Amino acid sequence: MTAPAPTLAARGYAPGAPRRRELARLVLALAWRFLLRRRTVSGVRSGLRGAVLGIALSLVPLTVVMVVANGLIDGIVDRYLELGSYHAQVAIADSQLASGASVEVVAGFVAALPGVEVAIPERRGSTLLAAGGRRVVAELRAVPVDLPQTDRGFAAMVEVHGGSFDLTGNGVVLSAELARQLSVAVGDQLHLVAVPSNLIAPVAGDAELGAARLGGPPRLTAVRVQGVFSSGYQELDRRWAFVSLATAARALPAGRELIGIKVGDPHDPAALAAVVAEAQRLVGQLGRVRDWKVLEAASLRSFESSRALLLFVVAMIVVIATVNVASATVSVSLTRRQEVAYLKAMGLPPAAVFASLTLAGTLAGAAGAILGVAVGLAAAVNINEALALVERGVSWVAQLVAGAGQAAEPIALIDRSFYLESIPFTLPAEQVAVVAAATVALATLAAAIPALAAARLRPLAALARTA
Amino acid sequence: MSSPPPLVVDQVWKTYRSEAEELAVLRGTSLRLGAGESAAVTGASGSGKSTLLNLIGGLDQVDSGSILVGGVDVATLPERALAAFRRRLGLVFQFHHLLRDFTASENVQLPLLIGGAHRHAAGTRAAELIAAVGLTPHASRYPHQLSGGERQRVAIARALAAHPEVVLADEPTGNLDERNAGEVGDMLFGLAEQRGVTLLVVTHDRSLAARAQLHLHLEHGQLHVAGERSPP
Repeated sequence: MTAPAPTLAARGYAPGAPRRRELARLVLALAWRFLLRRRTVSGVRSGLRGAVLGIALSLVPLTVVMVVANGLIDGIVDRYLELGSYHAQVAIADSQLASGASVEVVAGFVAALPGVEVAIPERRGSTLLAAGGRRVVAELRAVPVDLPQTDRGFAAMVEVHGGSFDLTGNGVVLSAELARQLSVAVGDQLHLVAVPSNLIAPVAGDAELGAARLGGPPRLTAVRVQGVFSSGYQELDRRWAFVSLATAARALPAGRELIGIKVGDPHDPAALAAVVAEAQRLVGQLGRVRDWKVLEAASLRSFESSRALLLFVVAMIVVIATVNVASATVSVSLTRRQEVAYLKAMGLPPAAVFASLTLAGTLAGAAGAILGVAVGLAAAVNINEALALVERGVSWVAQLVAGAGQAAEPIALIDRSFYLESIPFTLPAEQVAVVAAATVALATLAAAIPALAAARLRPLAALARTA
Repeated sequence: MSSPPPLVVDQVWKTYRSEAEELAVLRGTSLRLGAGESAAVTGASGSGKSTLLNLIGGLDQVDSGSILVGGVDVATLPERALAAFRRRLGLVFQFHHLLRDFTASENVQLPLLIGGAHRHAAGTRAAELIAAVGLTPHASRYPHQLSGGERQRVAIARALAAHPEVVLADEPTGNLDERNAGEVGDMLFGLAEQRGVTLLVVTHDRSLAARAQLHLHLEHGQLHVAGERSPP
């Protein structure tokens, strides 16, 4: 008889307490192979790759929605801030209109306040624009002629399609939509028909004269179209017509006066609040100062609600995809039941079985998150091109259906009137990170349940004689 | 003081109960194997051969009696300690139970890695055992790339990897043709003898049983000596 086999201890192993680092490495190796590996004996693919794909596919739309919704909302808010409400606004009280106080003079004092970059005097009011046989209700905005030069934010958001943003003389600059409705172009003449704003009531958005109720004698002012612009957000600018303050003095006697304030960072609430407080202290009873969050509160709430709803719906898809990890892990632990049993029979601790299967779920979640976010970001970056491509494709199909003899209308999937013409790319890094982390956590949790069952598996139950 | 014998089975009883009947498969079964000794247990199907092996391997629990492996009473071990206990055994089953996502070499390394061996040490040991079972050219192959006989040889190498005191083999040639069965049987007994490992084989194959030093027959829950041969 040969000498007895050396004990594990004699060989440098400690049978009762495997070294943690080595065991951890083994757990990782098992998890990795549970995640990736190959066909079963029967040829059925076993592993969590399907779950990875499911998670990735569900994260693509979520990422696109996050990025596009953020881009849209940020783009729209930026346009409101730079073109509409300004960062803050001094609304001159009506009673002051008769006092002869000059809004330009007050704006000069406001501009000198600390933190204020630009203060823009403005007069706004409703008017009718008439050209040829067409009449359209517009919001006339009277601003300094050098506004594009003094307000960089304004200039950045305005794209001039024809002519220039020239308000000198009797110049008017129309939104592209107004120009279209009036069928006018640069160089054409039109008339401002000024009426008191409280006497004009557009009905359900119908801008035609026939839908308005007029009162008092109208004042006609001839102006010439010197520019056509777009802010990229038609819902905001569709009724805007810009003239100089001098023109407005003739054409818009009853407009409301305001001073638009621009600061360095409108998203810095403390700095903005300080400017608002200073401006209010300065103007006193002359007017009321409010920042953009107050002025556009309703719109902001609407945007945020839309975004939250979209995210909620898409997040549900992610949750469902993540739950798939549970079923995939169940499948893995079932198809590998005998392997798990044999590993336990070889002395693999139940905790290591649990850890390896759970870790496989974690890896599936992480791989799915990385893949899904990457593809989603790529899609979001190219959303304008992708949208245009899809629209061209749908239009092509529509033309095909209509037949060669008939011209089908090009199909637009989204109405550009209510969205930005070009969707900006804004990376919501924090949101993306939170979604990716939540996906990994959910995948881990989903895998943990079947992993626990596998860890409790009694080896004998699975080690039947037949394979 | 001398070290305890690797395997002592003393008056073990095991009964399976169902609503309809009680089936006592082991009735005071006893067995004692010294270091490096080999034994084969034969018996009719359902006679309790595999049950005996499962009890020794800590995969099932005795009703009464005791099983000492290296002086440790298996029946008294809690689940957590059982995992550590199992690392002292080598197991070979009728079906190879190789992990399909691991190469032959990696499969052999598994018991060592589970036991906490360093991967380099495990790799070296696996290479030695793969060579011992004549599969060095196939060390990087996955189980599905191996024949049935080759898989079982890998399973034998794996059972011996962690320097077990006792190797338990349940019908190790049951799935193999005659030629492969002969080769695998030679390999199993040869390696066990060569390495001084105590080997207990359960089999229907009388030619395989004949290779053991002690041939036992299990009948009516009791082991009877059916043959004995001197160690080489």
